[in-house]
Parts: sequence; structure tokens; C-alpha cells
Amino acid sequence: MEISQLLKGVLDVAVLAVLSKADGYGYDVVRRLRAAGLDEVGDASVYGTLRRLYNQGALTSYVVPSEEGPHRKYYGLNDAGRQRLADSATTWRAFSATMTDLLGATA
Amino acid sequence: MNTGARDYLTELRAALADLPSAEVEAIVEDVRPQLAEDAGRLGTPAEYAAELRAAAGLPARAPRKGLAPRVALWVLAITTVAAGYAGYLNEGIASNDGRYSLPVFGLALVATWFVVARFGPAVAPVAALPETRLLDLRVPAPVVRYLTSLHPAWCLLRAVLVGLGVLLLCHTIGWYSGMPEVVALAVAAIVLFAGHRSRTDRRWLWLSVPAGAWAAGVAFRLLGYLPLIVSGDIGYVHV
Repeated sequence: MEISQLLKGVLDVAVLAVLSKADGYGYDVVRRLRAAGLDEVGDASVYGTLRRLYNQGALTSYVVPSEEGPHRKYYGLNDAGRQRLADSATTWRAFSATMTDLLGATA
Repeated sequence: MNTGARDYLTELRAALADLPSAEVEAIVEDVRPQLAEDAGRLGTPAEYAAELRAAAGLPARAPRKGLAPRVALWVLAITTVAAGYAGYLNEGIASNDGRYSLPVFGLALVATWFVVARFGPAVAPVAALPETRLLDLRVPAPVVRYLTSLHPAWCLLRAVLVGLGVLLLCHTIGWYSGMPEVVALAVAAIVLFAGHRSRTDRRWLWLSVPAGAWAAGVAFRLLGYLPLIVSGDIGYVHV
């Protein structure tokens, strides 16, 4: 099964989960997703997801100057984002349990 | 910021130009730190923009409105036909018809250069036109490879024929000083360069394609002289 296909549906949750641990700028979020094991995540997909979540009002953003290189625009969860993450996590756990049951029955 | 990053952001902005400028700036601001650290993973600006649009739920690039791409394409087509005819006409070019119409075609072509220059190396707005897509025939890959392998030879042949055409033209209009050879060489060099560059920068097609038609016209004209050369009459003909 193509991981990249699965990722499309859950990238929102993955990005929200990463940001719930600590605020981060775009490239930082990309790296943390990879470090967590999502190697196949596309850079532009993460940046696009951040913009969408921000435009939907789930994220706040603020700029932090960087000593070396350009300044960094950090994103963080606001209340709406935290609520959305909680809802998504519930949905995901139920879905994941269903899939595990289903696969357990056939394997 | 280095030049590579600056160029990348310029092209990225162009690929997002239909979006609100605040959103474009936010997107550019997001990508800047990675561009400074690890640009290799990002892909081309166009690929980056397309993937980002899909993930962000932004509309895919709206086709550029306006007549400019269509006018540019049709001026190219019409001047190509005119250039082919002019190459074949040669001495007839100085007739009333040619004298008054060909400069108009030439000026129209030069005017489109300023329009096409804004379209970028891939001339995407023209490539997106329905009439251009009609031209995009499904040619088998081996044929494409073979034709591509001929391209450098065609560029050279085209430059030689265009140079010959310029020489013929200069003689036709009675310009016999030492300059025609210099002009012919210069024009041939420009055409050779245009052909070479058109592989990567499609904007050069607006010079190389009409030049190719002119070259084909000149080739037909020269073929017409062959029987005269064979019969030995060439000495009596004002070529």
C-alpha cells in the first residue's frame, strides 16, 4: 500500500500532533515528521497543510528572527487547533482499531 | 540570500501569481529557511507550487486570462508562413507586395518578443492554449529521440541556409559592397544561437521557427536554380 496515499488523509493530524508538542516553523515541522518515521512526507505538502490549517483558524503564527539566515515563521496550536487535534485523535483511534480488528481477522 | 534562492523565489512567486499577495508572501516566508539550508529537496518552483496548492486546498493555477498568449502564437504561425514565402520569393521580395507587407510581418514578430519574454522559459501561457495542445501529437518515443538527435544538424543547416538567403537578398536589392557577407554571417550566428537555446528556453522559438521557414524557402529557391546550373545557363541568370 502506498504510504503517500495514506498520508494525504492524515497529514493534518500529523502536523497538529507535531505542533502540539512544541511550536515550529515549516522546515522544522518537516524534519520532525521525518524523524517520527514519516519519511515519505512531501515538503510542499507539509507547507501547504500548515497554510490551510492556519487559514482555517487552527493555528497561530509569529515571526522569530534567526541569527544565521532568514527569519522563521513559527506556527502553534490555538484552542481551535487543540480541539481539532483531540477530535481527530478520537476519530483516528476508532478507525485504527477497526482496521486492526479487520486485518487481525484475515491475517 | 544567494542568487539560486532568489531565482527560486522569483519563479515561485510567478507560479503563485494568481493568489492574493498576502498569501503568496506567507508561503514565500515559510519556505525561506529551508531554501537557505536544504533547497535540494524542494523540487522545481512549479512542482513545489503545485504540491503546495493541492495540500493547502488552494485552486490549481487558473489559466492566464487575456489575449496575449493567443496573439503571440498566431503571430508566430503567420510570420512563419510569411518567412517561408519570403525565403522562396527572394528577388520578388522587392516587389510592391513584398516591400510593403514583409516589414509589417517582421515588426509584428519583433513586437511579440516583448510579450513572449514575460511568459518565462517554458512559455506556459502559450503551452496551455487549446490550439497548442492540439499540436501536441502523440509521437512514438523512438521517433522523438531520432528527431531530437537531428536537431543540432538542423540548427546548423538552418543557419547556413539563412546566411545564404541573406546573401541572395543583398544581391537582389543591389547591395554589393563587402558588408553583405558580414551581415549574413552575423544573422546566421544569431539563428544558430537561437536554435541552440530554444531547446531549453522556448521563447527562442519565436526567432528560430520563422528562421527555419525562411531557410526552407531559400532551400526550395536554390533547388529551383539546380536545372539552370545543370544546363549551364546559370551564368546568364541574375541570381
